[in-house]
Amino acid sequence: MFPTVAAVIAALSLAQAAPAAPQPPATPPGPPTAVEATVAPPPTPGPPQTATWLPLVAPGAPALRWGEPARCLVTPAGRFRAQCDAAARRCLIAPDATLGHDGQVTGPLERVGPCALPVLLPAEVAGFEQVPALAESPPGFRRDERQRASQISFDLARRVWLGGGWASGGLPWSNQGVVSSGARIDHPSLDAGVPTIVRVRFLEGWAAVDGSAAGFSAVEVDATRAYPHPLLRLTTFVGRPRRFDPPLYAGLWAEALRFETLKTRSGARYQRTRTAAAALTFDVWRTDDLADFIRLKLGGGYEKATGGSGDWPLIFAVEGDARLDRDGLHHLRGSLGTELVLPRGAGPAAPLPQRRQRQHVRAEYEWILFSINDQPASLVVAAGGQRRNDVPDWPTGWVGEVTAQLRFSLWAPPLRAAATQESLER
Amino acid sequence: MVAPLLLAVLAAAGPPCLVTDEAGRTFPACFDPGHRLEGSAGWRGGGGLPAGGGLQLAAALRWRSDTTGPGGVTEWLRDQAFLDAATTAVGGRVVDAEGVAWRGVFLRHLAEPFILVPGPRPTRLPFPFDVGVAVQAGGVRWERARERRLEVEVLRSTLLLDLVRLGLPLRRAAFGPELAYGVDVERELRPVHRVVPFTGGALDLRAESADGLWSASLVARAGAGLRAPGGWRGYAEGTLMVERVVLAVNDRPLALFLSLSGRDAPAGERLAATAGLRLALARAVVR
Repeated sequence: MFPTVAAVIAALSLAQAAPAAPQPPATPPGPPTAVEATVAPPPTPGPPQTATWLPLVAPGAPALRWGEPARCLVTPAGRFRAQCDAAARRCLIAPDATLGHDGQVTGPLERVGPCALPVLLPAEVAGFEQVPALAESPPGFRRDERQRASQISFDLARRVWLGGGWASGGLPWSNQGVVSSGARIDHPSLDAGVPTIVRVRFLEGWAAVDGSAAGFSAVEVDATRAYPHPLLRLTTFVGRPRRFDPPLYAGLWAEALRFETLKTRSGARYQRTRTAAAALTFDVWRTDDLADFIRLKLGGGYEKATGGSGDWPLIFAVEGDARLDRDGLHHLRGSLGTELVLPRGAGPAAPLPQRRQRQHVRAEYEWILFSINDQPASLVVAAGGQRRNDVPDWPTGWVGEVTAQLRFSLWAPPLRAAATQESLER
Repeated sequence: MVAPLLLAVLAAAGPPCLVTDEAGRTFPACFDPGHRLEGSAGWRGGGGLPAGGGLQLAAALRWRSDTTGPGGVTEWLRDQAFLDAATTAVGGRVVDAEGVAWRGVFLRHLAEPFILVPGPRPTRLPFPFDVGVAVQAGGVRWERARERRLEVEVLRSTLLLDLVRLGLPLRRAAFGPELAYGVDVERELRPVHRVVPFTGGALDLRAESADGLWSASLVARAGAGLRAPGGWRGYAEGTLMVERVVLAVNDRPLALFLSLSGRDAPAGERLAATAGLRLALARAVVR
């Protein structure tokens, strides 16, 4: 005897019962039973016959496959969506609704289109194994036993963020609250079939709460690409000839309008505006999707500081940005660099030296603690130090600094390579 | 003033947006007040202007691009404005001008808001608000009374919690803490930097009738900002605007509007009112 829709409903009723969910009230109809389904007429196309109650999805249930059509299955017990494999003679069947904690239908499924018509008829799946399942989710999302979708993968390279926290260290402005903001959009693409990425940061800045220090960058852009032919090839002829292709991938970086203001120890205000800067970048390590990298940056720009007539800073830096886990919950960033400030004219007046420079080292770890409505909130801990002699009445030795901030990000869609949910966790 | 608007909003089902008259001619009867190129002219009084008031001219490009998910459910409410500028002239002489290069309000809408704590088995907790952010960049303000000074608002951003999901007949009813940075530039004087490090808050209400003929908004902000040099200083400002489309010229809506604004300024300059006409190249709504 081959299974019918009755068997489907019976299986769903038995296998998807929520282990700890409270029972629905006595008045509305409960989860469908085999008896109800046995006497039910065959499903017919037309307006959905929505039941008030459906069984919750059981832990361990497989999920329908994202990107494949799910056929509507309408029964007296409610509306389901099904994916059947004719070769394996197996159907995955999931409620076609979001459910309440007690199994009450609370609304349509989020983040998935409607099930496909025509409605699946029992004769089409006669003899098929019927497996209670979870509705499909787009990559980077997870459904729970009520089939509510939540984003669990976050692309922090596409977001707008605001943050606030505390900074502690030896700089004159340190040991107080700080706030920060910024936006970033990474745009990977294929350029003549070759992976390319353009990263744009804008309106990125920070400020000490008492206003004694702040920094702001209007726009920062960098671009790099994969190279079908390595830029540098080394061949050795000691012993067997061998070829080495060092990981050296060139790119470009540019920045417009960076502003810095500092209140010095004397109380005077130092301000510096970098009108523009540009650099060549060389990735020495990067992931296949170009999203994570360690790179060298060599370039220069033009800036003007308080009381100066303009300077040409030369920039040398090593920078890195890496995602530490599959879902983008943990990120590590770092930079190490030096800037030599060459005067355009006669150079600064005393007490500033003729040979001015800025050096910094910084490491930053960001951990997404929770999300609100799929928008991540993260803890950002950064440690570093700096040494500079281009600011009057400012520490000239190495000075350390540690900051901790809570950062709220908006947008942050799932990672482009996010996985799809395969089953409901046990 | 607001009551008729709310009544109109509540009667949201409304007539069809493409009307056919007795002669069989069709014309649009609904317009999208969030997606249009607009220009307006009106009379402005108060705000430190002479008794006769002045002529205010304004223009803006508004861009609305809401998104929906695979199930057709609204996901993002996105309102942007580009080059939103206004100027007032008295006797043919410009007395003030202000503008914003870009402004955006982005609200993430969910049927069932939540907080998710990631982990091997993520925990989902209920949350009562939609969330979003309002961002404004490149704002300037100039007044002839202080003609050597230019107030530049480099960036202003507000984290928003939206109450509309509670059933209010509004497009948004949001509030939240504010982060801002600006600088006052004055010839032959040192610039004054202004920072609001989440020490202020903003309220943003917007209501629109289903046919777009009525719209109203209230934007208010208050708090304390740090001026360097100058120290902490409180601030408060707000604008209430009501607009009603009264006719359309070649299917381009012409609206009457009334705007009331107030800010912490010297006595006599605190309150201003503007009333006038606004012509818009608006997107017609099809329903």
